[in-house]
Amino acid sequence: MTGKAALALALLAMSFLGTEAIAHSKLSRSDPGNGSVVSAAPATLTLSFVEDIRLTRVSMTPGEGDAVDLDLSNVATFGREFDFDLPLDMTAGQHQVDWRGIGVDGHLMQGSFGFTVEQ
Amino acid sequence: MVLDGFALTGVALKVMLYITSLAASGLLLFRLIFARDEADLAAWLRRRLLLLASLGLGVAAARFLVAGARLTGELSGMTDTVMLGILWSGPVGTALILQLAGFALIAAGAIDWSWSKWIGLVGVALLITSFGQVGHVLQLDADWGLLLLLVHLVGLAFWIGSLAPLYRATRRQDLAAAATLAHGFGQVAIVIVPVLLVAGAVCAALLLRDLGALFGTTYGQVLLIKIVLVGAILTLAALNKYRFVPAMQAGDTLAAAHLQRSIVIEAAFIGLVLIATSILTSVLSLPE
Repeated sequence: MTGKAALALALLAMSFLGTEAIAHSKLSRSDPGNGSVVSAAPATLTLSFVEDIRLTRVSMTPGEGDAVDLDLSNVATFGREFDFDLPLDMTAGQHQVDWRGIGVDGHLMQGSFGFTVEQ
Repeated sequence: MVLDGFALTGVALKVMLYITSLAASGLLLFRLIFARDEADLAAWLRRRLLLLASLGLGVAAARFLVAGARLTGELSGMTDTVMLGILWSGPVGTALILQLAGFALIAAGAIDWSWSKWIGLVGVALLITSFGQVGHVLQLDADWGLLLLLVHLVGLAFWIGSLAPLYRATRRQDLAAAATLAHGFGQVAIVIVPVLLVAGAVCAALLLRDLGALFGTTYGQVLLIKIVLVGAILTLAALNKYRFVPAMQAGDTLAAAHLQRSIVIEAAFIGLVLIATSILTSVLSLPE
């Protein structure tokens, strides 16, 4: 087998991966939930995980706008459920939440989800 | 969430860590078992051990920094003392210390074999142990899951580390010596390979829990690819042991060329297995 053939096989193996499960995600629930439509801008964001995690970055990106990092100073420890105060000036439309963290076993985790504010 | 550049880099560095640590460990084990009286082979092995250990030190350090970037999603994470502190204070930091010490000891052990081979063996133990610090196997209820992983890795290291010296032997003029070495490897492998396969299979079954997950989850599907690749490698290994090596012992020079090509293909397939393993251990979650 040539190096090119091995590389092609490796790329084939990579392409075999679905994009959903790739994130090493263990987020069990969020409020607002993934894909949900809320009538008014929520005051808080809740993330619940199936295992202990230390979050290292949580950001929120409005449909048309720059990402805003949420304050993690109160969640600088391992846990399963986290609440964040959201900006009061949240606009209507789609919002994407991206999170990153590390598990107790040292695994790096990341994931994202979205919700829509009607307002 | 699509796999981002940092996660992809993490997967690539994990593959390189597997290659450097398992090949270095395996070369040292190979030297211990087969190269007692061959000054020429010993010198060749020493150069490769030093090269692999040096590369491994760099790869281990780079992985740690890239992990910092993965925690923030930005390049600046590589120098973010808070992120690196989080990593350092947990299993990732412990694994890094074991890897750096392991590679350093293997390099030290390669310099003067007569007295320092035991130092090198301690290095092998540290490197192999480092893979048990971070990973899914820690989530198992059974403590012996970790032991199975370590046994699996030692066997795998011996196999991977033996490929380059065997390839080298088939390229040399002395057919009888190459046949003797390949036969000796086969005698050891016939014991080690079944043990590493059983250990790996039990470990995988413990992690997967449900056979349906083998087909119904991404984790299971990548594991399935790995199993198919391992099947191909075993077929090649059987061909080597039962056809090419006996033919070499009978004086067939063409068989040495066949074995040489077979080793190259085997190495390529092992590379793919390591890529699949790196994906399983770096970016995928266990099935629920």
